[in-house]
Amino acid sequence: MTMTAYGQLENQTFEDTVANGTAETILSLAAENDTITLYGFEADNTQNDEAVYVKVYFVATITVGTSLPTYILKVPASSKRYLPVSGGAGRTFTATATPEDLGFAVVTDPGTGGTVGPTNDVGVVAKTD
Amino acid sequence: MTDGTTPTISISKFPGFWIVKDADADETVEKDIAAGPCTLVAVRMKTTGAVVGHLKFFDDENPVLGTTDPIEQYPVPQTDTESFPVNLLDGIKFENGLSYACTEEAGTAGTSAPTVGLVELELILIPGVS
Repeated sequence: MTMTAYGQLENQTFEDTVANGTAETILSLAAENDTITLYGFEADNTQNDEAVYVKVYFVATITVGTSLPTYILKVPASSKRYLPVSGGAGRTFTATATPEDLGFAVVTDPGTGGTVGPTNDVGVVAKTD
Repeated sequence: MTDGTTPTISISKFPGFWIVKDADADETVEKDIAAGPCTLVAVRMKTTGAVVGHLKFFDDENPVLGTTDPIEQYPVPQTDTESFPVNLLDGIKFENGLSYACTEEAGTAGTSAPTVGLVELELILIPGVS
């Protein structure tokens, strides 16, 4: 049997097995008009009996609880969340300032506010170009 | 369902799921569109201009835009269409009622209409407790 080598959609996988209320940067865009394509998220909240919120930011400096999140994603208690961004086609973000960071934090409050992370850490995987 | 201005929503009610179409999702909150609990399964957003906007979902039958925290939020595409399942496993459950609005600003605050063109929206949901 001949194996066929296939290409890979993403170039980078970002995995954080201990995500919490501390902001994590997936990628920092150094120059204006630099771009990054985000293909999807997985979040594992199976270790917590309360819902958490993955907040994805694309801002110059991430301040959890104050910066306006680009995405707010609820991950129900004791469960996982799989979100293919744009159905897997991905969403391209273009820096309008320098630097501009794509990052995230996991907290227990929805909306903009909230800085408290969950009781137990959450696993987050993101794939980008 | 409450629409504060001209109705722009159409709903196809299948026995097991509903398709909701909104020809102009904007800063007017569309409240409790399933008339009770439901599960949001998929979203399609389409814009025909360089729209800057954010689609916000509230698990609240009567949210106050700018004050009530959204539990889900997605940036609308600019001159593009995005279709996606919100969660490949189980959808996202709204226990109190699914309400939504689309504003220019991200996050809790902000009550401005999306800039430039229209945001066409389609939702697939399962009504009731599942």
